Amino acid sequence: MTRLRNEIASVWSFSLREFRMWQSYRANQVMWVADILMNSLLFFLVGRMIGTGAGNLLGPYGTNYISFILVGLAVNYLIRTNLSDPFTRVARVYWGGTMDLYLLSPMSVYTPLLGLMARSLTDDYPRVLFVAGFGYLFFGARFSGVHWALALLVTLLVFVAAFGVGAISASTFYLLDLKQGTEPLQFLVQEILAGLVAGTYYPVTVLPRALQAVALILPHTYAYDALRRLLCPGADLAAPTLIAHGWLPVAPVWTDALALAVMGAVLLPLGLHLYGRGIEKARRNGTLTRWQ
Amino acid sequence: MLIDVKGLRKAYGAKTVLDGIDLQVTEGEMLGLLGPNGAGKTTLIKVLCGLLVPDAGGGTVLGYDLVQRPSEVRSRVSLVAPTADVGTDNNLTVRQNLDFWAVVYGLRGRQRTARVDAVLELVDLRDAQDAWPMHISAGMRQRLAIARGLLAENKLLFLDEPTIKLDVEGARRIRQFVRDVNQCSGVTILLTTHLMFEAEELCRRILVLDRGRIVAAGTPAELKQMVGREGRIEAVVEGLDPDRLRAAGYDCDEGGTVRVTTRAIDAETTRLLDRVAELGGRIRSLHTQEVTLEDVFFHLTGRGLEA
Repeated sequence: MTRLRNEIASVWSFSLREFRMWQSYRANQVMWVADILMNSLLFFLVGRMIGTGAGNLLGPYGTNYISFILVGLAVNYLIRTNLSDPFTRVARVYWGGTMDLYLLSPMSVYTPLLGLMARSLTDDYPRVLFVAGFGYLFFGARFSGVHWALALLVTLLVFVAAFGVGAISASTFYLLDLKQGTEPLQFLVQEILAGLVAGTYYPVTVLPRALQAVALILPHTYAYDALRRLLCPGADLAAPTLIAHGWLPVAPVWTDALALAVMGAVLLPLGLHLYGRGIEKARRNGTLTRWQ
Repeated sequence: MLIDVKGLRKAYGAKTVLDGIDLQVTEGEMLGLLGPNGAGKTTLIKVLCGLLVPDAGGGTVLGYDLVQRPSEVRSRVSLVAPTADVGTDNNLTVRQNLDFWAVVYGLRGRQRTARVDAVLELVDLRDAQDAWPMHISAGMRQRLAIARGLLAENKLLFLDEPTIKLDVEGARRIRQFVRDVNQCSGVTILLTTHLMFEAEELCRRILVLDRGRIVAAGTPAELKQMVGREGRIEAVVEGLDPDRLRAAGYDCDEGGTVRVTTRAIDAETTRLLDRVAELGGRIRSLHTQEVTLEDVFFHLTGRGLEA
């Protein structure tokens, strides 16, 4: 119990430090808000250009394109953070030379990974709320709060599944010795596949069937589908959109939740296991930090 | 015995970095690891900390098996890296940096505050506790790094080149702190350096490391004896006939220059000064040349330490 309390206290200490660091870069905070505002504005303008025609293309996700796109954008922020940041945070620790020092402590090898992700509490996760807020206040987005509890559950499942992929991605830093350049897993999943087939900007039903099948391997696909159904006003909970929705005798949103739960249950332990293996490999090769 | 390891070997590819290291360190000791860059000092420290897995050999550190239970070792030792900035965050004040690490080391609440206060006092950074690390001197940053290393109150502290990149005064203060930590707090210290005088000044026992092997071990005096030659005293004496000096047993030329070769420079110098005074002469100039650890290293390896 003391051990667990110490681990939680350590994560909290990381959070506090990351918050202080984030606070010390004032320009970053302005850019941070500007980035969210610009992204929301961009899709508002696209929505206006398409006009009411866009609403007819949304299928079961209601008729408000801005709501549709902003839920996608918010979910994308959340997934991108959990999926991409672990690798960059581990890289930061490596180049800063502090991985040795983190390991020379009573913390578990996983605590620094979780602790460093605490940066997201200030830097990334609040974007989700800002996106929704800007969309609501300035761009006509509306959200349904009827299924808020289920939406929260799905968000939690998305969080875990995406962090599972993120932990696998982080493990490649040491396992595959990827000290420079782009990490291929996050590049493939987040930059290539998610943007193309998961339905960030359009429903997956507009894709060819083969690409719809590819979409099934991504947590993004289920996250977009479930949260748009749950949060976009006028969305239909029953109409199937993904190929997987025909596989189980339950509502599509539950299929989405189940898929995310399975992904989380498999990917998170796998990611943590591989991360631990990566650390052990680095202990053998002498590559834990840049400092030798 | 705090450290008891045998046959440690480590290679990176074809390059052997540690080649059969046997080492025992007792509690309260300050042991110097002396060697040029690339001798394997940092690698040895990392193996002993549990940060690196040895290819062969093993033993115990703080009673824990280095190979079987490295995490137990890691959680009970402290390390100060050669670069003070490692582990120091420029976006946090001196105190905030220590607060962060104190929690990581398992200290909480009043215990944490008290410990941070104590180490700030110990390394004389109390007045700079609210300063940003980028605004304090390199020596102060190094003291901050040492303070971090002391937070956990571990029995075993590894200091890797603690005075590297510091000016003369900064280095002198760090050496003083290191001595105090060892003598007053009883912390066992394993210190690496490539500075002969630093090892000699701080350590009662020194291991000379070269190309991954311990080529000599002993007290500074024992190591100097290995060279097999003696130090020299050269004094120019005025007001005395050289024959009187020769009659007193000294090698003296017609110009009054006395030359003494000895293994006990200090004692012989004192004896010479007393004898010249007794005979009614005076010393115009005195030059001594001791055997140094540099000589020891050259004797053992055929190379200088800076090589």
